[in-house]
Amino acid sequence: MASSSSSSSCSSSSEKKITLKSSDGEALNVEKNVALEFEPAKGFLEDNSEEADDEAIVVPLPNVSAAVLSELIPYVKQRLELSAKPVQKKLIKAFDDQFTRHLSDDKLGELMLAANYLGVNYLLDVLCDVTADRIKNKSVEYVREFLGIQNDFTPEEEAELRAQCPWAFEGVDQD
Amino acid sequence: MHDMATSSLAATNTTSSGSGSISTIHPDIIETHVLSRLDASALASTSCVSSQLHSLIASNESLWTNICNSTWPSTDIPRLRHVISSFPKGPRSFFSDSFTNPDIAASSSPVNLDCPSGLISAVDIYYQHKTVLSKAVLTESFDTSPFRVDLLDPKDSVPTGVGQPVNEDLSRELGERLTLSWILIDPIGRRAMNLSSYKPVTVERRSLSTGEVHVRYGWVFNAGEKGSTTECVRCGISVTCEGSQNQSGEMHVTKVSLELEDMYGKQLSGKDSLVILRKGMAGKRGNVKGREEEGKRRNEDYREMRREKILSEVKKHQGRIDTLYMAFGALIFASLGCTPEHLIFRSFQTLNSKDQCPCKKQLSVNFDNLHVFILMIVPWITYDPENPLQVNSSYSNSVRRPSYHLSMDPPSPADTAPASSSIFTVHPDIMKTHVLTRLDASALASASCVSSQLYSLTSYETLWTNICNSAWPSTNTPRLRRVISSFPKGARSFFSDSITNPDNATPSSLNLDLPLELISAVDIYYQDRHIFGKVVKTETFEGSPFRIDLLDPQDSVPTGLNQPFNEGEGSELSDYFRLSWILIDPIGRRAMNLSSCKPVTVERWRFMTGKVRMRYACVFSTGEDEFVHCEIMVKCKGSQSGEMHVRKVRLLLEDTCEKQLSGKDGLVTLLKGMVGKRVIVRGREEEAKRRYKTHLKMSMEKMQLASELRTRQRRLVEASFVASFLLILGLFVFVGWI
Repeated sequence: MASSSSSSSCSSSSEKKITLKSSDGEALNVEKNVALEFEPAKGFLEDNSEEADDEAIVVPLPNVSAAVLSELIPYVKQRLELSAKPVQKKLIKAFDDQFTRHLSDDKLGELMLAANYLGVNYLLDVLCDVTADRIKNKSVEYVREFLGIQNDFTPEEEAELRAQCPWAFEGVDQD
Repeated sequence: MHDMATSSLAATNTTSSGSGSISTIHPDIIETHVLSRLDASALASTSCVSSQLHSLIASNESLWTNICNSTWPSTDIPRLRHVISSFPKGPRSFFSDSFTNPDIAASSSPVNLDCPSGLISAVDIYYQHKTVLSKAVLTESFDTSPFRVDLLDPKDSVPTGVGQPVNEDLSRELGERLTLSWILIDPIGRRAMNLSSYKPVTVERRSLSTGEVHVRYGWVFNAGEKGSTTECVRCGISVTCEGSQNQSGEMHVTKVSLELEDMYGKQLSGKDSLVILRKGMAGKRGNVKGREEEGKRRNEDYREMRREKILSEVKKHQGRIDTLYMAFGALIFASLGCTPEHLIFRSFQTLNSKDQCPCKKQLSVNFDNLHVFILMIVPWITYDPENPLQVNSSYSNSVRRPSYHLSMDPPSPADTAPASSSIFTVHPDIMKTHVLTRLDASALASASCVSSQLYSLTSYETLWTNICNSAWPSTNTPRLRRVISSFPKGARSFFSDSITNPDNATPSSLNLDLPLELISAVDIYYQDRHIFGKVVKTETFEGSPFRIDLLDPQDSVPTGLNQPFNEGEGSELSDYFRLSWILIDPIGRRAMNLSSCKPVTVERWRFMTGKVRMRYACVFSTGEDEFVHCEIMVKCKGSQSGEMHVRKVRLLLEDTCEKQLSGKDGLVTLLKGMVGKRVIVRGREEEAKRRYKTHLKMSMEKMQLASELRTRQRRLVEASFVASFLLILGLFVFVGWI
């Protein structure tokens, strides 16, 4: 879905620039086709389409910080370029792997929130895959730390829960 | 749940702050007049009411000291009072320690054994709530073996104030009315526990003339690992009462002693006892309510267990003794240099003179006596009836299956400090719809232990239904889905049940009159590709032997595989052909997997038609040395086109002697297996294979043993015939002579 919309807009409006305003007030200039990938920006642009000069439009993105946006934009750009070509899925996968491999857990979380807010579904999928892979075969304590959740079970409740599924803890990796 | 608790707490707070409520009474009045009138449990629960009451009660040590002293007068001596006040929370923790009996001992002893220490026993005996005897003794040396604590000196006797009973019933009544508390205190570890069952376990009248009554109290607790000799330890307390010498007719307590026995009824040595008692103090405690009955029940269980243990050990030695018997016979035979008939006759004669057993009509009885006789003569060669385990310990250890213990260290709250902005806390929806759906079963299960919020997210039924359906496509039928959703926690418990193989069957009472049915959901895979899945329902178990056929005789299912042409391909088949047989009890709402996943044996049945027979097995124990072998047989046959077809999938049950179980027996065994313990999932293929091999070996041994026994019996009967014939002949000759 995302790729089809991007390929149509790619040729016509690749020159135009849009300004995105992040939550901490920083303004970033992006190509229009990249901006159209972001649902809130797309909606904003459609609402304000009467205005002739696109340069003048500033799209506010109050839920995303500049740091996260500056990571997102190159990814979306490259991803668009990749998917515009007659596609090799392997290439896209390799690109995704490369992008996610060095992400820290915190960064992963921030990107996920941003991808969800901006409606970039292909990125969200990739990030969720990575998150799931990072939780698999890990101890409960590790998952707790990873997700930043406080344990609110009493030891008895937890022991009971663990006793219900002893098979789940047999193949746990070292943290 | 938490919310409810807090809200009810809030409710009580608002009501108690009303005007004229009891809490407006001056705290001094409460302290001096109300609290001192409360008993221990009321005091303990009052201290949980509010922090003010808690501090009132905690600060007033004499409250608890009074309760301790009135409950156990023996604790009211300066030395013990000093020890009690050294307990972590003073007399309060002493009371809760001493009021409870040990249940399961801690796995490791918290106290260094090298440091010099003693144990204090504070004993109180009551007759109908009136204290008869209160005494505390200190045991300092544990070098003596066996371990024994004697409360009274040999010449001491304590009057009970009760007249000597004149008949059996009265002495029983006397025994029943005597209650005893034996508190064992570790002054260094500052722990205590009660070792008595309060009410007597047995009352025995020993002698009529002196009116001696023997009353036993006992407590049994788990002190060691499963399978060790100290798995269960009995603390036996025996009290002897005797009528007095001086004709007053009053009963006196003359002996009170404590001993420890292990699973074989062997008395424990001093050092061992010290370790076990300390572990017991540090371990889990039993319930206070109903402990008298519990004590009695445990004692009976212990005796039953001990009897079985000893019997099974003796049985194991039977073979060894039998060979001894043969050797002994050969020895006599050689030394006397006479005919075997003569020998048997001779040995019976010696027996008759040795023990005065009146029933000597049957030769088999004599045979048994010969057994005993040999046992008496040659125990020193190999057999030590006092300690049978020593000889055979290596054997029993190797046979015992490893039991799985869940190691669990609850995490300290410090290392789970919440991160400032985490994915989860900000947006649980992403977690639910995107991340959790990507997890596999074990990751999902461990995620559900992370927090209650995550638990409720993972309890989402379709999440688990999807996992079940992708693991076992056969479960994806409307009927089964309904059964699965009726499980206690829906698809989650179904998955947990179905992924594990049974290990131990739990004896349970089943109502067999109910219309019972079993559902088998079977899936066959080649590598990771699902070939075929089918569900069958079995409703009648009248047929014997028990068996479930998955396919109709004329059915055949194409596998999409080519017929193997040589042995190599055949064995390859075995590695990649996997099977899962889930057996579901829709009424008991349990399930289990009966397949070893990988085949245990593969046979090329016939070369021309490409018939291959694969066996999957699952062996689980149904009792001491009793196993049930669930055999799943899959027959494949090549078709005209060279494609392999599955022709037959059948489940059979066999017992330890390779006898097939009947329909009813099979059903009962399977239902018990579902309720029992499960095997760990990891490495279950290898485990199943190993068990299958052990099963084969064991059944072979059993059958050999049985056939040997039969031949021996036959020989014996023959010999006895010859002997009796000769005897009669001799008699005739003798009579003729006269």
